[in-house]
This record gives sequence, C-alpha cells and structure tokens, in this order.
Amino acid sequence: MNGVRRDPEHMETRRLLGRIAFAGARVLEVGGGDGRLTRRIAGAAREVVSVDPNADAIARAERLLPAHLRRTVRFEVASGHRLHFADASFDIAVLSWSL
Amino acid sequence: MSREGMVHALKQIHRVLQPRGVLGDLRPDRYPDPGQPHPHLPSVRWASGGREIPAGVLEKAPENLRRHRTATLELQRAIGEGLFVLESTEAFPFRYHFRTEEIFETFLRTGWKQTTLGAPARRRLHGLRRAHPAGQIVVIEPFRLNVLKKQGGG
Repeated sequence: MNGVRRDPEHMETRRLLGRIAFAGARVLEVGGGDGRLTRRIAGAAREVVSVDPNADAIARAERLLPAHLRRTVRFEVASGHRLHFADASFDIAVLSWSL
Repeated sequence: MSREGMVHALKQIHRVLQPRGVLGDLRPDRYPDPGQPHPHLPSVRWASGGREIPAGVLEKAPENLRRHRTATLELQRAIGEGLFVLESTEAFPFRYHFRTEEIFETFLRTGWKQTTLGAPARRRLHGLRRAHPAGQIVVIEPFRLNVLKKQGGG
C-alpha cells in the first residue's frame, strides 16, 4: 500500500541475518506474503523458496522481485501445514509471521 | 492459522529441514509467556519534529490474542517434544510509518482487520495532528525472533 513503510530501519532483517548464517543455504520461507522479507534475505542465501496460501500475495511478490534475484527465489502458493518438499531438503526455514 | 495448523506446520518444517537445520520464527511478541495476563500491544505515536508522542495502543480482537497465545504454547510444546531446541530469542520493535492519518485508517480497515484504535487514542491522535501538522503516524509493534535448531532425525 502506498504511503506505508514497514520496518524501513531493517530491524527485522538485521536480527535475522545476524542470528542465522544464510550464506550458501537453501531456505524455505513459510508465510512469505508479498515477498518483503524474501527480497531482503535472498541476497544472502543460495536459494529461497517462499510459500504463502494467498495467491494474490504471491502474484504481487513475483511482480516485485528484482531481476537480479530471479535465479535465486521461487514463489509458490502453499500452506505451511501442507508442504510438498522432500525430507531434509532445506538448511533453514523461516516462519514469517505465520505461527 | 488454527492450533492444528500450527502443529502440522511445525512438524512439516521439522521434516523438510536437514538434521541440525535452523528454524527462524518471526512474529509479534504478543505473549512471550503464554501465562501472562495482558498482551503486548502495538503503540501508536505521532512523529513530528524529531519527537514521537504516544497517542495510545491498538486493540486486538480476542481471536487474534488467542491465536498468538496458542502460537507461543505450540512452539513451547514442539520444544518439549524434542523437535527443536531454542538457540536464542530476542525481542525488538517493528515499526510501521504511515504518511497520513487517512492512509493509517485505510490500513486499519483493509490490512489489520482484527485491530481497532479506541476512541480516546483516536481523539489524542487528532489533537496531536492539529498541534503538530507536519508529522506522520508511527506504529511500534513488539516483535520477537526465536532461533531454533532441529533435533532428532527425519
């Protein structure tokens, strides 16, 4: 929404990147919404798969994804309690405002 | 997410994580202790001239509060069952900046549907805007990052 800035101070990102070693990791983000946090962590990881049950949010996330992150990030419409991914296939999971 | 959904999500995440994989849990810090009687609520402030003046808090619907308390309980349960071990936990402020009061009101109606600004806080906000016209609304949400490590196989 225009006129609203969320965490422009990057308090959330600084803490996440400071506490978790994303370098070289395959990351699953659950509840990624419109990709605000996805875009902020994607630069640090090898690959990010971001899922959200809201198809409109995922469409917006795909639109907002910068070209230089398109090889790193994949968005999918899915719910956190129905994950189709293989066992032990991610190094890091981020529950993004979704519990 | 329902309680059952939270339980399933934590089990699913445990399954897809590598052994010793890491889970970062980011969410509003409504109930850091599920037994605490009162929730931590977002504060609303009028920011002007380098100052932030408190106007009040945003009230959350009972359903929203129940969900947050349940989330803390279910995370504690997952730790108790040996799915994860808590490596660190940290509270911090998550800030929203609204350029105008109208944008804030629209966001309340469309984005934060389980959230209300009570009449006294609304009156105070109007008063602050009249007294200090050059400003914006800042909402500070108490937030928490829990970092957990996967335990066990699978």
